[in-house]
Amino acid sequence: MATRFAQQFQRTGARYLLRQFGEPVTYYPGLVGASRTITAIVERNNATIISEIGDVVGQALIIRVLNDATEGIRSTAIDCGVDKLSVPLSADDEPSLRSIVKFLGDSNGLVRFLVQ
Amino acid sequence: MADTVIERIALELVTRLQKITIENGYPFTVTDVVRPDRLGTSFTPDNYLILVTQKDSSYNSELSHEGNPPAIAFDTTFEIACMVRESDKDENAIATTTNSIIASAMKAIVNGASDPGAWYQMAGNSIICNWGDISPFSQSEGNHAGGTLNLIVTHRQSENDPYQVRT
Repeated sequence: MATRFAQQFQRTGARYLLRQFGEPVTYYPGLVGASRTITAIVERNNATIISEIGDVVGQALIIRVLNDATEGIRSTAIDCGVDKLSVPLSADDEPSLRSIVKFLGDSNGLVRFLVQ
Repeated sequence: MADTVIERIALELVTRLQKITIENGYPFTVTDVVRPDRLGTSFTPDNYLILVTQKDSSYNSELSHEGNPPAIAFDTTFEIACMVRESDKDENAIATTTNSIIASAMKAIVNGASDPGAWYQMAGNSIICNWGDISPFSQSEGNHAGGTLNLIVTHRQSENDPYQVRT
């Protein structure tokens, strides 16, 4: 069960952070539901090594969205095998369709995941 | 300018792997066949994605020979990483899909040649091809799974002209 702080932060702080630092991205659920545009805080880490496929360099973006079925993504709804996100790899760039590869956590109203 | 011998081999490999489609009789269609770029912007990890990575070219003294100019031979390894990313709700064995995509890649490399009987010549650019190790991979957190197929291509070129194939 979420703490009182988490509930308050979800109602206030999380939404405020998204308004201040967020940008529009499009979420494509892989199995059920239609795509939708949501607001996300995009942390662009650029390159990372994907060691299991021969040390190939890949992109890595950490995304934070509201833990909400309409304004963001419910943490329980993310399917890291098939879900995708259309997001610019660099700020002000054209959006690029990328796979959500890893769920990183959900706390205080925000869901955090890795996109490559 | 024309491509080098090794570049022509890599392009031929990609062309053959792109023939993995349901229409061509395979159990699935590849999402994409990619040779990774420097920053990895050209691909996103996806189910049935194939990444072709060129590894070391080792000098092959036995197949190099004298001449004017001399001919030098190399064994170049291509790593063909076949990615399997299925739904988190999928409970099928990951090895089943991995086996399927590896088998399809091997089949496409042989049968995708314009002359499958001489598939190992890579459209006239190599002497022989040998299969190397097949290694399944999966990251500890389960982000990516699949298998890597190694293909060792032996090719020969003029010592002073890497664009010219030598017999």
